[in-house]
Amino acid sequence: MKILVPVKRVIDYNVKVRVKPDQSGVELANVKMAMNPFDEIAVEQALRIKEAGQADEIVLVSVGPTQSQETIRTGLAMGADRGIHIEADQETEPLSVAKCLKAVVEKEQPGLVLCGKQAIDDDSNQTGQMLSALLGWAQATFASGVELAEGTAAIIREVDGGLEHIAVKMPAVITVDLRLNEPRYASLPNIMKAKKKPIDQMSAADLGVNTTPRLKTVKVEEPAARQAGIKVGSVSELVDKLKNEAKVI
Amino acid sequence: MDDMATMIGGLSGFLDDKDIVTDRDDMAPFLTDWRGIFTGSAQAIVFPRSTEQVSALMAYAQTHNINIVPQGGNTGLVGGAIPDNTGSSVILSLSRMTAIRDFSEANNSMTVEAGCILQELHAYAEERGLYFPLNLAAKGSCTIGGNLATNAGGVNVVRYGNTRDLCLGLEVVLLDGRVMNLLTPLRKDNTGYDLKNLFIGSEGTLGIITAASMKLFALPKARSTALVGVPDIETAVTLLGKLQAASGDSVEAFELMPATLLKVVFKQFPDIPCPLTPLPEFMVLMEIASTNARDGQPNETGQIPIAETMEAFLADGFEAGQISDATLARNDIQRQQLWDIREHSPEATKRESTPVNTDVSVTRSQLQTFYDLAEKEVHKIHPTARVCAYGHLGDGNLHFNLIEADGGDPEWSEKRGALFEAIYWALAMVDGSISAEHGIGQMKVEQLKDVKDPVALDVMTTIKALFDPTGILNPGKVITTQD
Ligand SMILES: Cc1cc2nc3c(=O)[nH]c(=O)nc-3n(C[C@H](O)[C@H](O)[C@H](O)COP(=O)(O)OP(=O)(O)OC[C@H]3O[C@@H](n4cnc5c(N)ncnc54)[C@H](O)[C@@H]3O)c2cc1C
Ligand SMILES: Cc1cc2nc3c(=O)[nH]c(=O)nc-3n(C[C@H](O)[C@H](O)[C@H](O)COP(=O)(O)OP(=O)(O)OC[C@H]3O[C@@H](n4cnc5c(N)ncnc54)[C@H](O)[C@@H]3O)c2cc1C
Repeated sequence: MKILVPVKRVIDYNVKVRVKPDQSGVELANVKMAMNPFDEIAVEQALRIKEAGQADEIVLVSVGPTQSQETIRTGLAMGADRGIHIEADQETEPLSVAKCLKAVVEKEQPGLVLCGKQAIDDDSNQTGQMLSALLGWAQATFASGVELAEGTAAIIREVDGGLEHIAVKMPAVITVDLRLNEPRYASLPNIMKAKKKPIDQMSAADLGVNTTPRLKTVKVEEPAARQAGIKVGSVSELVDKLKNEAKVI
Repeated sequence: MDDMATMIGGLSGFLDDKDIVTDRDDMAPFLTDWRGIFTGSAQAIVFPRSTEQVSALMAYAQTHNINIVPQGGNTGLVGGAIPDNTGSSVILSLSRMTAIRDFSEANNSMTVEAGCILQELHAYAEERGLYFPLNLAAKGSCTIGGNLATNAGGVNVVRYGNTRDLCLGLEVVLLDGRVMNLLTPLRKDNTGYDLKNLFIGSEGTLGIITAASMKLFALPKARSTALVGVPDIETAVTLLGKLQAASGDSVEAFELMPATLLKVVFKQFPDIPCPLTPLPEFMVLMEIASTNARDGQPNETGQIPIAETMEAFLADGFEAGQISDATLARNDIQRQQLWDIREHSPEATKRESTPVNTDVSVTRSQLQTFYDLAEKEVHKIHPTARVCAYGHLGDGNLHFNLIEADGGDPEWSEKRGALFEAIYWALAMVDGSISAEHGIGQMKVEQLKDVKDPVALDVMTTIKALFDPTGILNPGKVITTQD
C-alpha cells in the first residue's frame, strides 16, 4: 500500500507572529518557517505504519511556493520515500488544495491519505474533509489512535466526553490530532539520503486546478493587548475593585 | 554589634518597612542555597531600591559593624550568597533594583541595575533588535549583579566570552558608603587601573555592584542546532575547531553531555524525548548562529544555508569516523527540546542523587587526559560511581560530576570526600583550575589556599584589607582575613 501525506509550509510554531502594518496579513518576509506540526505527526504515523510492514511507500505532497520543497525535504529526512511539489504562489485555500490532492490521489492511487487535522497558520481544518468528499472516500478526523487492519482502520478520536472508537473502510482520509505520536528526530544518515530522494514538480494548472482565491481577507488585526496586573493592598480593596471596576461581583 | 532591635530600628531610618524582612519564614528561602548544601542565618534581609539606599546601608553597617552579605538571585553554586550561622549578618538583596537606566543601539550597550533578572534582559534587548549573549540555565532567576560578582560563564562563552568580557562599566558602593562611578559605556577607557575588573568575580567581598553597562550584539536570526554522537572527548575538541572554521567562527555553543547524563535526564523528566537511539557514549550539543536572516531562509536550490553548513560539517565528520550519529533540530520546538536536555541536567542530577559536583577547567588539549585520569581514580575508589561529566567543552570547562549507582548506594555519603579528592588530584596533574565559572564562595576557601600562587594569595589579602579592613563584607567567602 502507498500512503500519501500532504505537508504544508507554515510559520514556525515558536515564532512570534507579527501583523503587517497595512493589516493585509501577517509578516512572512525573513520569518522562520517549518512543516505544520500536525503534518509532522501525520508523517510520523505513516512511517510507523510502514515500519510495521503495512505500507511500502510514503509519498509527500506540498502545494505552495518553491520553498515548500524544503518542507518536503524535511519529511524525506524523517524517512518518507519521495515528494511531489505543486507550485502555487498565491495563498492556498482548502478547496483548491483538496482539488490538487484529489488529482494526485487519482494519479498515485494510494490506499490511505494521512493529513494533519489543520494547519496552524489559517486554522481552517477543512482540507482533509473536503478531499474525502471529493474522492467519495471514508474520513476519520482528529485521530489520536490509528490501527490498520485488512480493508479497515480502527480510529480513536478525542471528543469532549472521552474517547470515541470508530472503524472506517479503506481507502480513507485520516486527519491526525496532537496526541497521536511524538514525531521523531531525523538522523544524520537519513538527512543525507533525503538530499537524493526525488521530488516531482508540477503546477496546479498542470493538474487542471484553478487556485485563484475565493476568499478575500478584509483585515488582519493583533489581538487586544492584555493589561498588566496590579497588586492590591488588602482584601477589601480587592473586593471593591471587583465590584466597582471589573464589575464581576 | 548593637542589639538587634536597635539595629533594625536604625535600618528603617532609610528603608521603607516593606523593604526590610525579619520574619523567620519569610527569610528562609534566602538562607539556603539552590543545591540545599549551605544554610545560614541572618538578622534581617534588606531590599534597597536605589544606589543612595545601598550607600546609606553600607555606611550604617560599617559604623555599627554589621556583617553584610550581598545577594542577587541566590542561584550561586558555592554558597557565596549564604551567610554563616552566627546570625550576625544582614543580607543585602539587590533584587528590587531593577531599573534599566539606558539602552543604546548606537553604542550597542545597556546600563542596567544589579537586580535585573538575566532572562528579562534577554527579552528587553531582543524586543529592541539586539542581543545580550550571556546565557546559563539559571537565567530565569539569576541577576546581572550576581553574574558580574561571580564572573559567570554559561553556554555562549565560546563565542562571546565570560561576563567580564561583556562588561563596559560598573557602579560600585564601597563599605564606607562612597559610590564609585565607573559606569561608563565607553568601549575604550585607558585612564589608569581597571578597577571594574577587580569587582567582577569578587563575589561580594569588596563592594556592592549596583549597576553595570553591558555590551550588546547583533541579534542572531538563523540558527542550526545539532546533537552529535562522538567517540571521545578528544575527537569532540577536534570537531570544535573544524566547526569554527566551517561556520565563519559562529559557534555559539558546544556542550558535552554523556549518555549517563541523558539517561538520568530522561528518567527524571520523562516528557523530554530522546533524540538519538541508541545513545552514543558521548554527545555534543552544538549550535551555530548567523545574524543574517537570509542564512535561515531557503535559497534558489531550496536549501537553508546555515543548515547546509551544519549538514556538510556533520557529513564530513561522519565520513571521517569522528561522528557516530547525529540529529539536527528541524524546527524551534526540536531545538528547545535539545536544549531542555542540557538545561535540565543540573536539576536532574540533583533529583537523582546527592552528586559530587565540580566545576573544573583545563586547556582543551588536556581535556581527554584529565577525563581519563579522573575516571580511573574515581573508579579505583568506588567502582559503582557514575561519571556524569558535562559542560562547556568549548571553554575546557567540565562539570566533572559523579552520581551514585542507580537504585541508591549506602556507602555514598561516606565515599564522597575521597571522590572529590580523586578528581582534584587528577586536576592538579594537568594544572587545571578548581573553579572555572562558579567561584570560590564558602565552598572552596580552604582549597584555594592550597592551589593558588602564594604571591597572588598575598596580594588578594592586601586588596581585601584595603576595601574591607574590619572583615564585615561577605565574611568567610573567597579569602579569610585572619589566620
Ligand atoms: C606611530 C604610532 C602609532 C600608534 N598607534 C596606536 C594605536 O593605534 N593604538 C594604541 O593603543 N596605541 C598606539 N600607539 C601608542 C602605543 O601605546 C604604543 O605604540 C605601544 O602600545 C607601546 O609599546 P612600547 O613597547 O613602545 O612601550 P613604551 O612606549 O616603551 O612604554 C609605554 C608605557 O608602558 C610602560 N611599559 C613598557 N613596557 C613595560 C613592561 N614590560 N612592563 C611594565 N611597563 C611597561 C612604560 O613604562 C610606559 O609607561 C601608537 C604609537 C605610535 C608611535
Ligand atoms: C541551574 C543552574 C545553572 C547554572 N549554570 C551556570 C553556568 O552555566 N555558568 C555559570 O557561571 N554559573 C552557573 N550557575 C551559577 C551562577 O554563578 C549563578 O547562577 C549566577 O551567576 C549567580 O547570580 P545570582 O544573582 O543568583 O547571584 P547569587 O547567588 O545571589 O550571588 C552569587 C555571589 O555574588 C554575590 N553578589 C550577588 N549580587 C551581588 C551584587 N550586586 N554585588 C556584589 N556581590 C553580589 C553574592 O554575595 C555571592 O557571593 C548556575 C546555577 C544554577 C542554579
